[in-house]
Amino acid sequence: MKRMTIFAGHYGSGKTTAAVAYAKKLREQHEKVMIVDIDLINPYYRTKDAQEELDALGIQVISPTYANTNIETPSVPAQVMAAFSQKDTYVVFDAAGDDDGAVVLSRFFVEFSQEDYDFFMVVNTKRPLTRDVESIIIYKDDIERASRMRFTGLVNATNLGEETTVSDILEGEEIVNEVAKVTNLPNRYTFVWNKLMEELPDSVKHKATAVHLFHKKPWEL
Amino acid sequence: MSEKVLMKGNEAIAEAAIRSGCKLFFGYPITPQTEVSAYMSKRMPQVDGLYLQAESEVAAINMVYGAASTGARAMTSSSSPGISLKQEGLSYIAGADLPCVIINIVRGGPGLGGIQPAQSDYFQATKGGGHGDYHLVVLAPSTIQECVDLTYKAFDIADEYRVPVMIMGDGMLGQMMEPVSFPEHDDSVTFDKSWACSTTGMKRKKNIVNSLYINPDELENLVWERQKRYDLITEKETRAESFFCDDADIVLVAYGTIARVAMNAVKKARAMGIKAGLIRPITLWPFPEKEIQKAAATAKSFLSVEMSTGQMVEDVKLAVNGKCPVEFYGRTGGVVPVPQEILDKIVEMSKKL
Repeated sequence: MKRMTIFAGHYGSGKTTAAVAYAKKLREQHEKVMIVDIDLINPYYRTKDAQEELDALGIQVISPTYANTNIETPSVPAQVMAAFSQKDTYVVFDAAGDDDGAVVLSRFFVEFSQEDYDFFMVVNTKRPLTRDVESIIIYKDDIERASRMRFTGLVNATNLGEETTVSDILEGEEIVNEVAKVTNLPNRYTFVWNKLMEELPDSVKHKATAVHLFHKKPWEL
Repeated sequence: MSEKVLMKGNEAIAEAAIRSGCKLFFGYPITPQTEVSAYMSKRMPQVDGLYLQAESEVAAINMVYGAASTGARAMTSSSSPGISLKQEGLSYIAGADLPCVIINIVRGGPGLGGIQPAQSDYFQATKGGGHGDYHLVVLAPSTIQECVDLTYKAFDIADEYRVPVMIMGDGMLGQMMEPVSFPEHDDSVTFDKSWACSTTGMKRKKNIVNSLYINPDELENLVWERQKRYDLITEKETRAESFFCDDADIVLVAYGTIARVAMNAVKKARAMGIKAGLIRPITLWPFPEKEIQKAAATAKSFLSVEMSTGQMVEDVKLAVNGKCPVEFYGRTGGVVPVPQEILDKIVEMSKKL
């Protein structure tokens, strides 16, 4: 696991859920971990929703915040630069969706170019516009162009929310493997709802990370 | 996509519109409905449709006016402040008897308000936000699947009765994701478009789309003719769901996502031995008066639960017509109630029975 890891992809692909799970995983091995939310597009369903959990684990959260409220402003917080200057800290970047969201990454193109980082494309093949190899590659190219950076790997985050089955994940795995073949990018991780971890076959289990669905809907409370 | 996919409400509405034959979308971004526009911008080119980001909400609704005049299926979407801007256009569209679909993914108001979910545009949607004797048919989905089903329905109702139809959801419905499937759209149903301003082929007199009638008698006749169509819509298109109402002492009335929160509270109340029920209006206009009246024949009290300071409660009171007390519980400004606070209110009411 490198000092810097960036998660980008189609919006709603599961980037924030993956980034939070990845930061928690880093925290098991490293003293200082930071998660940077640079989603300047969508003010709903944010890293900040997991703030309490991250605080308890001692994971630093940097997000666009307006006057300490839950309202977020579409501007990059100056504190993001800490990610590049605090060399003893492991950093997870949670980018906004699509190529539009990835534009923010290009702002840090110079800084990233001086770092050893992983840049993962999060794929959920149950999302309507990334259902097959062809459409995923179009998204990949668009995001790379907007961010001015090349992906270093793919991650499978295929899910149907609480209706996800193991066969959904395996179907996603197959498509991501196909994308990996065409693009020469490794299929690095699979993010799996913690309830399904035990049922996973060994072929996927070894690269799987459990995620918790932290966005509860009001009628589930 | 008969197979399930994971979609936001905003995306599901956009995809369902395309499948309903809507190839003309005029939008303008505003949280929390921007994904309707974003999705349309990606999908419309794939289906030889048009996605156009207008220079303002006012422009977008007038583009819909123009597009709908040709008989084509057209749609626009926005959220509360943007819908306010569209009111003049909506009144003109209604006055010109044009079918179209408008999406309102409601956020907190008034003014710029906030960006979190709300239902405080109920008055504006159901009582005519623009001027004149007119109605919007207002559909209120409560799940992402229902966003799909009601979008299909919205275009059919619009064409059948030549009226604008609004789909009203709250920010939560627009933003949250649920598994959804798209039933095969029945394209065999056709509607009379002989009024449309399409080519005459030199074979007929030109059609005119207009809402200006200087002669009062002529205007009155047209307005009453339209009113008869509204009566027909009320008779044929009113929709609601009732749960546990047969023996309910306390009947909750809630729509959209809040109906799901209310349902949870009703089940908890039943588990405590309180006979609670729920009526979920699916059409907000026409309002499901008959369902309410039926429940009011045996219920001891009603509770309207809304994300507003109390708007639909007035329609509930009109329908209950004094047969029993009607109470209100609401949160507003973007705050979504949780089941427990509604349950507390039910318990409080049950002590008064």
